[in-house]
Amino acid sequence: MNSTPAIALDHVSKWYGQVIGVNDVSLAIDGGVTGILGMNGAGKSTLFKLLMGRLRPSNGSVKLFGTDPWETTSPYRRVGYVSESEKMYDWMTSLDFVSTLARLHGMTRYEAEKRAEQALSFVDLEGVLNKEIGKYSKGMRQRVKIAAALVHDPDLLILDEPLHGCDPLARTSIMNVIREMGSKGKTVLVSSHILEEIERITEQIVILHSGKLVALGNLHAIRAMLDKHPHRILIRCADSRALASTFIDQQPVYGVRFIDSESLEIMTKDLSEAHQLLPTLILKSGIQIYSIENPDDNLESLLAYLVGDA
Amino acid sequence: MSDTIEEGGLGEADIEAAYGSGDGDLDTSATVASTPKGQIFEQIYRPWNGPLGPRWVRNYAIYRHHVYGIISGSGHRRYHPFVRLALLVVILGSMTPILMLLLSSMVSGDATGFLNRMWGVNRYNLWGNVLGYFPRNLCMWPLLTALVVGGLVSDDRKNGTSALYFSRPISRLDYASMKWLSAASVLATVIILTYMMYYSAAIVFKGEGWSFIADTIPIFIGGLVAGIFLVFTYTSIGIALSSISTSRFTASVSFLGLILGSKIVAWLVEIQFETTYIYLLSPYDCLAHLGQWLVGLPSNYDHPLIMSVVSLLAMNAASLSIFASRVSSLEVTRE
Amino acid sequence: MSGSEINDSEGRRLSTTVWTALDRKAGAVIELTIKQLRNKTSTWTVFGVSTLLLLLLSAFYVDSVRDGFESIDNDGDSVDYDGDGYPLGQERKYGSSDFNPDEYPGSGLFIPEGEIYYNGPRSHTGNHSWDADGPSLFSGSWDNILDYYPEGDEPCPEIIDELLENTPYGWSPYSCVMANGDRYLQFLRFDGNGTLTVAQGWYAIFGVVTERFQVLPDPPEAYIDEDGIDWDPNNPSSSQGFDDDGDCTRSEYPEQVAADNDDSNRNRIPCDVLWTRGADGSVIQIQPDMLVDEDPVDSELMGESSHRSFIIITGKIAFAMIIGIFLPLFLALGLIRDESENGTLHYLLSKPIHRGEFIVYRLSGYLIFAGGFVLLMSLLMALVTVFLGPEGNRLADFNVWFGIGAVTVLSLAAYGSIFNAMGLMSPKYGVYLALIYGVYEFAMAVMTLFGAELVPVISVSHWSLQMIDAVVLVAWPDTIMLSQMSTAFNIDSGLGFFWRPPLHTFGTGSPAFAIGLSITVLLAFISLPILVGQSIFKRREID
Repeated sequence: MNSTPAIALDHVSKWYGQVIGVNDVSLAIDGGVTGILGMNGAGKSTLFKLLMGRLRPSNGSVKLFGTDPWETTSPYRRVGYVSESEKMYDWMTSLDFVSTLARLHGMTRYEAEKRAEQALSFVDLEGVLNKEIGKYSKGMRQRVKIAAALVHDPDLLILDEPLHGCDPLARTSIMNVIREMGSKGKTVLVSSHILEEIERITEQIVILHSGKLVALGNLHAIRAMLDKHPHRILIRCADSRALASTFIDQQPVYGVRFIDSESLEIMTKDLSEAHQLLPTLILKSGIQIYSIENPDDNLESLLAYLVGDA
Repeated sequence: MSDTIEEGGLGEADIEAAYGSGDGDLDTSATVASTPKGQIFEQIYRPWNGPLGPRWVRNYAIYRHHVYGIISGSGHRRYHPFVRLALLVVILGSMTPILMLLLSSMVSGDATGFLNRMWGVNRYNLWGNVLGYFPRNLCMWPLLTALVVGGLVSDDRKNGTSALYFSRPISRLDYASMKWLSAASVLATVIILTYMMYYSAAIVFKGEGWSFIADTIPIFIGGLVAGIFLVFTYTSIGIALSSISTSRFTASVSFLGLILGSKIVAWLVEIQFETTYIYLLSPYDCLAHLGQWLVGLPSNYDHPLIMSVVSLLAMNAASLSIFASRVSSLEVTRE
Repeated sequence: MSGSEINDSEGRRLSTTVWTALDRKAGAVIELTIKQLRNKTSTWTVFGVSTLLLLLLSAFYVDSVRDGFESIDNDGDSVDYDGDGYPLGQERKYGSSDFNPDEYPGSGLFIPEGEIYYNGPRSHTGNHSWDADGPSLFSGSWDNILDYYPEGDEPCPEIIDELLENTPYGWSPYSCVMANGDRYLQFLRFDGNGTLTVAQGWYAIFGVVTERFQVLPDPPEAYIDEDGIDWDPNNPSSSQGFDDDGDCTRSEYPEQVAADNDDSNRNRIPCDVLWTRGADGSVIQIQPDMLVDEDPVDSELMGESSHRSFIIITGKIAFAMIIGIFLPLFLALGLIRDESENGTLHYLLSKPIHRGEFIVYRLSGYLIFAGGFVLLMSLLMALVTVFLGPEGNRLADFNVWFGIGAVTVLSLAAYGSIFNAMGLMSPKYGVYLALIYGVYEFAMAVMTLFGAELVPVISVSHWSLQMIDAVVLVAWPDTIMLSQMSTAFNIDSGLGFFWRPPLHTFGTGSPAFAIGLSITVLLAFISLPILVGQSIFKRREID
């Protein structure tokens, strides 16, 4: 791979009339899987559309392999794109769909069909190649889109909410595909608004909020920052008061709150340490536990923390 | 979904939602709210047990949606400025004889009465104001109908706004008749109103007396009846096409193709093979044949009038039954 | 492209150049477009309706061919308008009027010699046939009343005075005898030797009446196909033709009437037909004198010219106007617009294809699909007309049908690119723009059919119709002659109306030039909207 990064954004802004979609984002990504995290409307899709030359940046410059995608279509040779749109040609078979798109890269019909078969079996659809897309489930459709994006063996893969609306089986399968692509040395961009999804795919993340880049880097580093933040652990058990007494004298715990006789909320400033302690203490107490939840361990609270700090 | 329905009047936003203002034209830029996973979006059609407004008020709301949109934008079906302009041109075009009448009453040097003979009230002009082929039935009325009728039903089908109608206390008969009426009244406003204006203008500008009125009123009424037939038939055919097509455009083009195509093909056959029977397939010619009889003009057609009348009735019956069956099969959910 | 080399099914290495790649991309988009069009119901509806239309026309054609061409009275002279038993043709020969039942061949014609004018001398004396208009007095020998009124010998009422001052003017013929033996009369024709005095402000003429003789009325059938075309193509003379039935030469006119034979074509030869030939010897104009060769044998001539006019009308109306305008309205407008409305455009545009390129490929796909249909239909029509048409070398029909197909394909392309550009210009309301433009084109086509030369110049339909005219002339060079013959000799084949020599030849009259010019204009109509469309599309953000 040469020195120009796959993706380079330099102070990019995009606004639709009065509404800002992306606000002064600078970013360079090359190699590996990167998760783009953000709430709905944070600007993930806008960012991807800017990368794919579908939108023209209002400000700043977008470079795909060193070339402006709005001006020329040449970088698309090396890019595969899965859009958030669920519209497809329902009357086509998936083989037809993927091979047609492959032919748009200048492949022959034969080559395109071979590649399309490969790509579709890569996403576990080899059994339904000749069925019309209209008859597919949502997860299958999503995988057809991924196959279409993979068919020309791109160096950069951009996936806009690929897990959205899929059943757990499909999610696992799609996540495997993404991880595999990453391990092949491709640059992969995945967006999601669900932290745990991204967590299962990659460690390298970018967090967008209201069009702004709020965090960028290793998920664990961000997590660690988050762990120092006051956290709650919600435990449902047979006897909340008895359980509370075992916690109350431990170092990371700074508060306990009773919700009812079977629910208990523990407040801590070091989540990982608290979680390390938890199993031993529970075992020691012998109280029956129904569930343990981390209500603050989600994107909302992460964002609230990050944005609040900023 | 909230379990309680708030009391109080419907705001403009509710009405827009209910009646699908904008016809889904703005769909491309609309953001679809995404449903959080694990939660099933439930659609509950709950019977309304509270008091209902009178039936005519509900019907009137459907009716005015398409009609008011031509004049004012907000809260009603949105007509593009370009479409409004086209409609304006059609209206102005159909009022040119009035201008010429005014001119002929003002020009004193018109000794030979040329303007008056060309534009004044006579059988040919009264017939021509409604049923003349060029330019009225070639360029104006079919285009007008196509523009008005295009998305009338197909948009409801395409955007799922029919579901909004039928989840409310509106019967399909009400829906269908109001849709029909709204198109017919726009057509009638342009076609029949300008015809009446033309006749009254002739009386006023020329200062005609009772004898003139007594002489010409039977012809005028003949033309009026012909005009009503025209509006009825064009609306029925147009709305039937709108109800069977999935896009407003297909409906409009089909209508134009039907009216213009059948006429010119029948003309072709008449010239080449010397028979006028094929005109029975052309809605315009059946109307023109009937109109000629109503106004008392010699007929251009060799076949008997009754055949044209039967064909006209058959066309209307077929159109209305297509429309009725399509409305009764309109889905309550989005298609 | 990275990835392993792939060999094709026969094991050849695939070479990838810019050009082959371009070719393959085009192939993919075209194929996709055709598949999409194939999947639309409206496509098959339009194709079905077009096919039905052509079937209907073919059925009429087959029917008319089977019936043959019956003889018709082209000049309408077999009718006896005034009911005197003599058809118009016979009355023309004898110079009597067919609108006056009292004038018929052999009835004797009144030939005026002089008149008593409104403001001239009030009386005249002589032995004449008289035709008195208003109140008059006649003294002399009264012979017989020629028409209108039976002998009136009753005495005149007292109110009629000899100075003709207080006469009860009526508008009907009347005569009575005055006290002094003179006759009072009004509106009468009579023979008499004497003096006629006419009241102030009235008028009378006098003259002779030709000999009366007995003529048997001809049957009306004698005046059908009675004056055929007398033309010898090998005779170089431009003045040909012969008035077989004698209604121009006025063969049976009474002697007293000057036989002023017609020379409408002004070649100083009365009652002939002027056949003007062009430089290449083909007939380019036919000007007959009135009533010469005016009722030719229809079965000989109608066949070919009505066959041609059927092909021309079908080509112009069914192909160029109906299929040519409505097929693109249904199929072309959504080529790109529908993709962006459906949200599937980005699949295609996130591939290395320039957007302008994309427009051209989409249009090509549409054109191959719709054009293929049109060419197939024109081939079918060609087969129908070639096998059922009149005797003769019908191979030229194929050329005409091919020309009609090609013209229609050109107009499909032009409308396609115009409608597509409208869809790009305004994705939401381009449809209305296209509707209005479609109606405009249709109206311009109708105007062109009726011979308008200047107004419809800025329309695709005008040029495609003119191109059909030109193609017809190239394939059948004698169409000018046939068209001239149908106008000159009253052959009602429609050829004279529906076919005109190409309009825009800049004076050269060359059909090839007209074809070239039409193609150039149509190509401009095709390429300009593509340019406009692609410059709009290039700047469009695909949300």
